[in-house]
Amino acid sequence: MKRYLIIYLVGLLALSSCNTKQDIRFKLSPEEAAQEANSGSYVISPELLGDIYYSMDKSSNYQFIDLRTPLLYDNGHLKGAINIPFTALSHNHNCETFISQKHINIIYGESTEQVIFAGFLLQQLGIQNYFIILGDYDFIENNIIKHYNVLSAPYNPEIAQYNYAKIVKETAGSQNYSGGGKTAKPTLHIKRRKKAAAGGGCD
Amino acid sequence: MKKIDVLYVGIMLVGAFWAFIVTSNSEPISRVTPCKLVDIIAQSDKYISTDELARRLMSDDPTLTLIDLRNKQEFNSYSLNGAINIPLQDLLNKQYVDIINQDVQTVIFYSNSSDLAVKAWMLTQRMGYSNNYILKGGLNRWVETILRPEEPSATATLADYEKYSFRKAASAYFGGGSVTGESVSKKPALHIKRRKKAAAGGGCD
Repeated sequence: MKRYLIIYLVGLLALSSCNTKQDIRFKLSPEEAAQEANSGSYVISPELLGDIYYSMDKSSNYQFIDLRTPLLYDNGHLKGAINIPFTALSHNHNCETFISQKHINIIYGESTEQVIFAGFLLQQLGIQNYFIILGDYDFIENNIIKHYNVLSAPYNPEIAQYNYAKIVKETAGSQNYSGGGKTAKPTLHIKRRKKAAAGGGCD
Repeated sequence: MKKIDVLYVGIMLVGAFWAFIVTSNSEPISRVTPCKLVDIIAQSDKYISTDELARRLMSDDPTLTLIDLRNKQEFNSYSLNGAINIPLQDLLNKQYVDIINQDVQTVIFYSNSSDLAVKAWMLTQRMGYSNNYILKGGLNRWVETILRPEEPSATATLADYEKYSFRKAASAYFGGGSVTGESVSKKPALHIKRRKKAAAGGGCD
């Protein structure tokens, strides 16, 4: 009996060590994440970014994280940013830094899509002290850091930038669809001339 | 049964209970872990370009399922041909599982930009679904590239001109005002010349 108990306990220990390796877990279920997906509260405004960037010193609690490749990072990055390439995010040390709650992480990357991936991942992990910067590095550098301008303020890619229905209506194509379904094709009216009465016979 | 045996059995029961608690806290096997999800995001071919989508729509590809993730009002105002409206927050509702968990159909998510589509795609990957794609740039890019394509510069390559040529044709197909001259919506009048029938002769004059 004693021997079985030892084997049993060893098995339990192995099971627990397997589980502690996966200590990074989702806090939100996919269904909960879907419900909260429309929240954009973690997107930093250009004004706040400018304030943080220009008032940052060694004592500040902010940390910029650059998700681009090391080559792009070496060519230029935000002052004080550390490089965690998105493709290497799952590597142990990177992962720990990325989800670290020691600092308030401000994340930017190659594109808006890449940053949204990163931000939505953190949201699902239940991490709260982070911001993401929309737009790629060039946009951030040119429109927020170097020249704060009219393009910086309303930047939200999810806003419809055109009146789609109007554009299609202006010159409707054969396959456009706008609200009420496909427009019915006009009926083809072919007027046929009345056939002349066949002549013949004697009047 | 000896007292010591009862103690052993007790330890085993406590251990079994503890193991149950530990394992029940982890993600279900069918769903991916955060680190695995990051690898999937980094390595997957997840985007479809507006050009590719236009090409497939123009060829009436029956394997295409378009999911419009915007709200109903925006969807009713304009949507791509044949799209189904599933607002992002409803995406994982049971009623839509058969639509987004596909082996045969290619499911393409879109919204005004890639924002909502990126999130939708990520959720489907977490659920372990395949065959899902993101329309890169969304409807805003659809307008810029397909409905209103920009003419390449004089120094552009032949490939750029070929792409522009395709986009002009696509614009005429989907409607966008890029084609100058007569409106593309009007089909040229069908002129059918009919030969005059000779009066049937005969009879007595």
